[in-house]
Amino acid sequence: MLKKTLKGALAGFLLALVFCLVKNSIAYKFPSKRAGMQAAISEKSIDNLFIGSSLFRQGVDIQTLEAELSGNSFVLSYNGNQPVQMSEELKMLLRNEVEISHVYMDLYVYSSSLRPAISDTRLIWDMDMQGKNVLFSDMVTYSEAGFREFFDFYVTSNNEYMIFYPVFQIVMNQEYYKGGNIRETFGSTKKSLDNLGTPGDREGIHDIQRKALEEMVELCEKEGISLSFVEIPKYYTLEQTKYYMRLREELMECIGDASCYSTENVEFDNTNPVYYQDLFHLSGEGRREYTMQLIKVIQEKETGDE
Amino acid sequence: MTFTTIRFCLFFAVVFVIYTCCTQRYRKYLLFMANVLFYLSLDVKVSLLAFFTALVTFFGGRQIEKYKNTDRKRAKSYLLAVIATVLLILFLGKYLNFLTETIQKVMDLFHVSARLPVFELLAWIGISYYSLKAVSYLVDVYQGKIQGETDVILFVNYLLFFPQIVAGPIGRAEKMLPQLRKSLPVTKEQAALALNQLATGYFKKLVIANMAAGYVDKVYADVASKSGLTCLFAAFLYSMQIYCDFSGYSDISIGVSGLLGISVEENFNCPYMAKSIKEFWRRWHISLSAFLVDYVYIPLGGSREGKGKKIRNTLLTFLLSGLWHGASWTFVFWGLYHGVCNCFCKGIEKKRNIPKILATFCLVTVGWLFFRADSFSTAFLMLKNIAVNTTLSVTAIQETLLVFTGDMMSLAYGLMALVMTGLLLLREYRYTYGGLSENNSEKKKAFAGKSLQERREREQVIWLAFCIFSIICMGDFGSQGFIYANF
Repeated sequence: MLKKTLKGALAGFLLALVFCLVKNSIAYKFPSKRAGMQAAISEKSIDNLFIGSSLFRQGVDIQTLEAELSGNSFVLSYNGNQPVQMSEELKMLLRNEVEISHVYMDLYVYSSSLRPAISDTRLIWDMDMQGKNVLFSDMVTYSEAGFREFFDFYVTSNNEYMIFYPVFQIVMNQEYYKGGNIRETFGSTKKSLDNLGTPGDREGIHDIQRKALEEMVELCEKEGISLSFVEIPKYYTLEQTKYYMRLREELMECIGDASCYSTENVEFDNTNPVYYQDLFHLSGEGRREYTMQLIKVIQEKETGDE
Repeated sequence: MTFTTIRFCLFFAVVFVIYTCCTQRYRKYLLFMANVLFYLSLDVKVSLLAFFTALVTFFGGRQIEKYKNTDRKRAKSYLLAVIATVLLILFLGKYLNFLTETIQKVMDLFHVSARLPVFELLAWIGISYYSLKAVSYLVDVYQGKIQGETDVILFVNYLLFFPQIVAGPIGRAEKMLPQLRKSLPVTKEQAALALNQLATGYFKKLVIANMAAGYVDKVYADVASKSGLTCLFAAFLYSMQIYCDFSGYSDISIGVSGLLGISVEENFNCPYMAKSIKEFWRRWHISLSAFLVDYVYIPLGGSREGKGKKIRNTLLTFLLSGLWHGASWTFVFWGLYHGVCNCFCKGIEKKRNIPKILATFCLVTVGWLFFRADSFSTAFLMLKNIAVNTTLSVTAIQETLLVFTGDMMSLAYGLMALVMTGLLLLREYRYTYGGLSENNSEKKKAFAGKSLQERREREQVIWLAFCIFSIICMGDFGSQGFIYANF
């Protein structure tokens, strides 16, 4: 009986090993029609790639982009996506020969002030092995990731997702279109937004994120891709805090003269609570309104450039 | 050093190797060292008190043994004195603040302005378990069921046996002391069973209980804002969490004991397959139920003195059970609730009855609402939400699942929690009523062409492989401690 038991234990271990190997090396190729890296790759050619965090998912309306902005648009977003990760995402798209004309990159103070960390495990799922290894080695170098993080990153993450992949795709297809969120989300009230308080201060823009922003500029230059930064407007109570303003200024310094669509050149009423779900994320109505305003400025700029 | 930490795994691996390799003569000393180290790793002050309790019980047991046949009165005095000491330590460690808080509330009710102090108590890990072990040992010695132990090392090994320190099972001296005395090495058969039990325990704790805990904690943190369906799902998941957490601990404890060659009886026997509350308590925390029956219910008179006294004794026993679980009125209510349910039970049916299994599960789940809630208002709010605000719309389902991760991954987590609990319950159903049950073995023998033993062995190997796979791939190795370690 002991022999059989040990064989059973070994079988379980081997099964787990095979499962993790498949997940890490092949699963990123599983087709995904509506959102994520595979959906972007299957587009083959993207004119306007919006690459960012949940702020883009909630703040950039894909249907408005489709209707108002010329060319094929796609929103590639992961929760808490940091510049260091966005740069790897772009590299992976280029490795897969996706033709990109213009990249609009999320300029988000909080994700840029953190050490490398993965907030959205779907990013690990979507990355190829090369990208995964870079993301993890950044975590080892700058975030002191150890065995625990290694285990979470390569072994534990996304297993539920892999098992229920077909079910998950059905839901994704209903909620996303070309990477953009099409689910209606409702706005808030002044009282509940005020009750949320504001998140605390951060030390400053992290060196590796600063480096990633520079790398992104260089990469786009090298590949002949136009790059613009987009700052989704936050609720005014947050934007008025001293530390937010300081961090924002620091972040603006990082991008230097690069093209940027910020609260300074895109008109948007960030005091209207109906436009917000919380202090960071826009509601459905806010998303549509902001995207319209953004497109207007983009078009004005394009006309001016011509 | 809880069972789910790498530290414990390393600690046990070292203990196991040395214990298995060393000669029989030295095993008790090695086990003693392991017990001391394990307890010291929890808390130095608390461990000193635990060893003090062990010594008091040991010497008390010797005095009782000395006088039990010659001077019964003196033996009884010793018995009462030592039990009082043990219970006083338990009271001071666990119930002092509960008592002062209750008195304070009564004083507030009568507008008495005086404030009673709130004591800073130590984290008395395991006190409820070793106290009950001590009481049962003393009573058994007094009643002549066992002889008072003469070897202090052996006795400490029994009372503070490290696999049982934190959350039981409450091992009986008559079964454990002879095994500890022999200190036989583990047999192959025992090792196979122990490994299976270990894997099942870790699966229950790391995969189901911890996965459910994240959800349940979020719901209980803000019940008012949650929908009825969310509360209902949280109530179901808590039923699974508490079961998998506690029985998972017991399984690991029994598995660890088994690898040290000590057989410990099962503490859980598929409790959610019970068809009545009475049956539930024969399957849930069996060692505590047996203790309460032997040392509380029967000494009170049991069911011998008429229906009225039977009800009184049942209610008193369950009230004590509630109080043992925690120093709070919600636990007392939970105990009484089970006591009342028990009084309405007629007997225990042998045949399968799915509606009754479901009804019992629902009754038990309602009880858990009070067990989990930190106040009556939270428990009643949960009940109200479930009863009044439960709707089955797409939005309600989305909101319900969202609690898992707050994003799109919620669906996968929700499904995984359901599948894992479903598989566990299905296995338990098969062991209780299905193809692996002893009752069904004869009927299915010809069909399956294999004996029950063979089928169980085959199933155990598959189950073990599944558990190992699930622990590695789906295990949540977060810092969730064991719930019953708090009692």
